[in-house]
Amino acid sequence: MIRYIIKRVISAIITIWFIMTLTFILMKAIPGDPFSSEKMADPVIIENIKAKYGLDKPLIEQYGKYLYDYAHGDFGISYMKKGLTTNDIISSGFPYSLRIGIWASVLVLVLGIFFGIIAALRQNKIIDRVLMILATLGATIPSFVFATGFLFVFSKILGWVPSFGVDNWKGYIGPVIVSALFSLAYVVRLMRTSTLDVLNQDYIRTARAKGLPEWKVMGKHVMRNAILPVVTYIGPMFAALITGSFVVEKVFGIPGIGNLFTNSILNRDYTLIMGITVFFAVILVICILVVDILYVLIDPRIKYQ
Amino acid sequence: MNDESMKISSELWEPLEPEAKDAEKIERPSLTFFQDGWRRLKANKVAMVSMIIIAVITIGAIVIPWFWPYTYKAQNLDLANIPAVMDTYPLENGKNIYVTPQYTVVVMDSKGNLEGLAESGRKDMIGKKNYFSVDGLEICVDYSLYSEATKEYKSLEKKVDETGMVKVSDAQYLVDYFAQNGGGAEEISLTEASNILENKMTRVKVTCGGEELTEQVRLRNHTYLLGTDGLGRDLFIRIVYGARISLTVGFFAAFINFVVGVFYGAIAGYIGGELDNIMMRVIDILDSIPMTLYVILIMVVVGPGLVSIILALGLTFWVKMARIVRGQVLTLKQQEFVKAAVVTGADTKRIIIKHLIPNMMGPIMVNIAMQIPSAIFNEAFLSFVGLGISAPMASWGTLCNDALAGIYVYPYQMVFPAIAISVTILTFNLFSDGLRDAFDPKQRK
Repeated sequence: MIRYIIKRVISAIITIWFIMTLTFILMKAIPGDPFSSEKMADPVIIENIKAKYGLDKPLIEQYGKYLYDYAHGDFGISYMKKGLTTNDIISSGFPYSLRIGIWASVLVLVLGIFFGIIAALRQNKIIDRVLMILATLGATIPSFVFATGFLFVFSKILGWVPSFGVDNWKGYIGPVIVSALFSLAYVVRLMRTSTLDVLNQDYIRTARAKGLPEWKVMGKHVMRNAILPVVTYIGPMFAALITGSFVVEKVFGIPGIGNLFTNSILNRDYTLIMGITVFFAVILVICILVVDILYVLIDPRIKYQ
Repeated sequence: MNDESMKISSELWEPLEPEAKDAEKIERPSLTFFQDGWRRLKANKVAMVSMIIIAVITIGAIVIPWFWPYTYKAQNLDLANIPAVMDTYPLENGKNIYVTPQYTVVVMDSKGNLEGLAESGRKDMIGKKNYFSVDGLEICVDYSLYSEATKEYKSLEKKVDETGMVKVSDAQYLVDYFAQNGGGAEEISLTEASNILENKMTRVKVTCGGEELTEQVRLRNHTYLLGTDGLGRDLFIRIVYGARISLTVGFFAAFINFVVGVFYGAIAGYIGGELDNIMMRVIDILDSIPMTLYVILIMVVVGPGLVSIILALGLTFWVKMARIVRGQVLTLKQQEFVKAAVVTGADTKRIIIKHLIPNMMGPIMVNIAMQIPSAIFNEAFLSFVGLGISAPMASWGTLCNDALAGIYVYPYQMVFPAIAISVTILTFNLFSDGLRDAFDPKQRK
């Protein structure tokens, strides 16, 4: 077990290094540098600024410094937002995204597993059909359509939620629901398929044959086994939800990290782009790592490879 | 020995009945793989309907711009933000007028062919009245009621108690509203008061030559099928151009995906060994990166635009295809026909192109069909956040983004592109599900 974990951690570190390198190369591949567009007539000033940010050094040295700083948790200074470090900016936006992400994940798991089981138990009945149609729509309609539709109905017509920002808990309702929908649709389908699979297994027949009450069959035998595919999906889903949906944050006017990322791209703030990309990647890799390790604990059939 | 037993009885020499001869005959023509799959696909109604809708959208996207009277960038600022269906006031001279949310007047004939803005006369800012003249008739748009009501609502907001209730008698517009519509509540919630103000009240009083116009006629916009956007551009043709963009992105991303993914997977699977190991580790790493992130980064490097979206999507979306193809190749390469090809001296290139790929067309096609909606989805998403197609070109994502600012006043500008994109992705999804059931039943879950 320990060996398995160590192996997984090493491959996670390699992945993060790869992402950092790729990001670095991509950022350096952009023609020109962030200051070439600014109207600073005096080349001396530009030279000074470049020296300040270390852009006058050879690429390999810049790369080394980049890896060293990032490994120490220092994501550098923002080019565009004067006087702010990338760390400051990320820590200002991340709490919003984190809160929305956590609640959305809870919503997805609770409702997704519940409706998935219901649909499987009532296979081909009306409720199953309705749930599957809803799941198809949920995976089809883009989130910006949902988000604006939600605002239009609940903010404009009914006036229940604020149309902008997250000053109180009501402001979180829309973002949480809208960001959850896509994953929810997926989890319902996944849970339905795997529950149907499990229900046809011999051990379920055995459990019923020996006279276990239905709730025990469902809770102990069906749920425990059917939930496994969902567990693998939790990692990427959780990471995607807490790193903030760009669209949802834009429509609902939330100063979260997704919004910061889009803005940093539109402003060509290269250090911020690099910082947030790596931050996203680290979160994703950690989430996948944790879920993989959990998976082995939950499902003893899986060998540590 | 009995000679009799050696003799074959003469009835065995009789010819067979004609029907019995046909017993071994293959009644139906033998079907190729594609004919067989197509037969199954045809039986699937949902998939067929989806296919027809996709075909209609594709043909429409190609053909409509050829004959449509407007282009995607032709502006007519006079006729900006005119919806597809309008509540108009008919005038005595057969003309109809539509009062915009900015209290200007648009003139049209009784069928809904727009004729332009009414000639603007005097503006009474204090009395909250705008005057226009239409063919000599004087039209007065009086919006003082609504603006008074807004003021009253503002003062209500200050008087609201802790429970969120307000007294009806505090605001004249509420008193008038309940007097007209019955229901004599003394207190209502502030939300309800705002709802009445925004949605239930008559906003303007329109008079023509001193007489109030009360009769309203709902007319379809005959000049612009789906109305116009904020710059007076025809929304319909912009949506058609959006379809062009989305379909181009979808098909080209699928094509790049096909080329890169199929060959990457085939080479890894066929050659195997250490090379396979390295190539698969690369895929593992690429797979653990959120694709959207890299599409965005590539967009930043190559700059926004149609070509770069296609490139970015094509370069990042092939991973799943490579995995599927490699799996297929691993099983196929053990089969005799590949060994036979090796023995006859075919080289690797020939075996992959002539022997392996044709035998995997089922899963490859299905996977491509599934990647198309996903590419369309991503294009819309990128354009929506401002990283995709740039103005004046239109894509469904940018149309939705443009509509976002005026969503409360002009919701139709969001609704039509949203319907277009949802229907397209839905039909592509349903079609690819059908394709999967027909051509690659093993993948079915």
